[in-house]
Amino acid sequence: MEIIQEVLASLSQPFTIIYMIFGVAAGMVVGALPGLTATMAIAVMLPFTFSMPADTALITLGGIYIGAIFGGCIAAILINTPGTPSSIATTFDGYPMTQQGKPDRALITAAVSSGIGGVIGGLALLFLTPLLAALALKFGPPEFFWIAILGLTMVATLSSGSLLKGLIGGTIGLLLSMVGLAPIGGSSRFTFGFSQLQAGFELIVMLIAFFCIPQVIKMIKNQKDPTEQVQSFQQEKGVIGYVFRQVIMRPFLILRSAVMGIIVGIIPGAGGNVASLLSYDATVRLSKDQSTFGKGDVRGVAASEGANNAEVGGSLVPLLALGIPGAPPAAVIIGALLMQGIQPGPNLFEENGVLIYTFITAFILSNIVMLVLAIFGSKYIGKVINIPTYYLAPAIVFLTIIGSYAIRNNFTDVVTLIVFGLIGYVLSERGFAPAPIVLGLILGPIAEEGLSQSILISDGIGDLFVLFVSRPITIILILFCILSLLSPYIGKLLKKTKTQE
Amino acid sequence: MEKRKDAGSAILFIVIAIGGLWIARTFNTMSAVFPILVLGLLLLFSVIYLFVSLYKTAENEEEPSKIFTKEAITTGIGLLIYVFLIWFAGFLLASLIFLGGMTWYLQEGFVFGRKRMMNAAGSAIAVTVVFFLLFRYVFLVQLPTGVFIQ
Repeated sequence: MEIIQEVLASLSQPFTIIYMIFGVAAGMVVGALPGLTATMAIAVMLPFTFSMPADTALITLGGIYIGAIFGGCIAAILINTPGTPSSIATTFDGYPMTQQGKPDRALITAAVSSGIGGVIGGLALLFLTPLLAALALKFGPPEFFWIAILGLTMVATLSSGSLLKGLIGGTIGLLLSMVGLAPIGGSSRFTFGFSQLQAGFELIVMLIAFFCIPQVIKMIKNQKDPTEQVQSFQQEKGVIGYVFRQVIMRPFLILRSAVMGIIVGIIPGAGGNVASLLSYDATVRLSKDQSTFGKGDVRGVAASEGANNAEVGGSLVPLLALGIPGAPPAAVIIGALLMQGIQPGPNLFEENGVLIYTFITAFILSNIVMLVLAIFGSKYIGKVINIPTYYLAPAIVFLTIIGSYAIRNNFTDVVTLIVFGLIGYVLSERGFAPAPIVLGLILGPIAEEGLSQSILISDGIGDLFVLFVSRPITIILILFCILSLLSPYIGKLLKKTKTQE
Repeated sequence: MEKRKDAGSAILFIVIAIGGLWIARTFNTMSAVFPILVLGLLLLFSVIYLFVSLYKTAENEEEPSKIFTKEAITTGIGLLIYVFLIWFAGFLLASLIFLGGMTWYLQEGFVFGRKRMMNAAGSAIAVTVVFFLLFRYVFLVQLPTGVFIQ
């Protein structure tokens, strides 16, 4: 009771509320800029929080984290470029909605599902932290390998048109993820003598290259073709009500997405991008009517955004309970805690109970602030698509270049962006969708480290197969992989049986 | 025609896979496991793709799309020149030239005369200056200054 009073007293301070709103708004702006991540936004703001009281500092950084993860969907929906890696899956249905002249519908769907997903993530953080943290510790290399393989089975969902081209795209992505020093073994791989490639390709740069540059070239190519034009944005009445009805009609969609986001979030190493992709894939596979996915289905946007914002809460679970960050932005927040003289770990709740409960409550409130800001901002943000291509296309290129450079202050990243952007354009015109390539890039390092470490561990046991089948979580993941691969055939078989009946 | 292009793509991927496997033999065991696995899969999928494209019937052929149109080639060259200019003349000047040039070029058929020039110059200056100041002084990013100023 005493703790609740202290938490409420802390949260009723006007400056705390102002910083919370500022943090969320600033995070949304940074997240919307392609190339700038939530990690960068928090890192940039970190020095400004040194002089703040601990609770205000944490609330501001938490607000930035939440805002930036949502902000990523703005660029994903409006210009088909994930603002942050977490919003890759949002492009699949968000951008087609923009092409139909309904960006506000996509943005509000993203806001509502992000808000609800974020609140569920916050509640998990509040009530389940010790329990979920124990689950995170059960994930070892074999589990990471199989979770990556489970993610790779999504190629079937993501390859638009040809499964074979999707599989080739996925392996190309895996191949690109191997460039640089091997994580285990240390050989310099596929660098062709360029020392700049030793660190490998920066994921965000490759994301922008494969999603954004081809899109810009297509925009310019089709500028004078009336059949290829994005429909102009005209604000509809009752969109907010429509979206809320759509979400309320499908409570399991958001709940499933949020639960997946939380689980992926608590596993250190997997991030919001994995969460949103897995959630999107599950939503497609479990839907009776799959024909509208990829063509502007609100369920696709809701699945992706519900998961990636719930993942934020999930990623803070191992941080608060064990002192292990679940995602890169959470690692920067650890820095903030240490600078305030707070040691994250098992004793955190006992030693700094009021502070942590204040932070978690503010975290839940920040999601509501984000929801309100996003809903009211969407009608203005949506107008971006009404800007003529001759202004928009060069400005997008400019933003992607500056964003790519800013990640590591590295000119090689700019060259990489343009070279792979042009390759991505040719590939996409030849029917190789960018999503499977990017999927390979994201999951490649997770799969490789998991496999290599499993091989090393199995040297002690004597058999890799025994290692895989002797762990309960691995067995569950293997079963999920088999189910995921067979699900299209099972679906067809069930449909056939029903038709015969 | 489309059949030939698909077969060409498949052969390119086969060459990449074989080349990759050739390079991978120089890696130590732990560094080579994953590349060999992935390149093997790429080779397998590419061979299947080659056969599928060779035996594709005319009805199954996709609508051919023009990849290298005048606009696509101009944009591609523009992007490469932009990157070169960033290295050579620095980010600020290169961005002013690229944004101004591209906006001017893309207005062809939409805006004419003096207004076309004014639009190009105005948008180039506004976008470059706003984001240059934001990144340079708020996000503290040291943007490239070119080969002459180090």
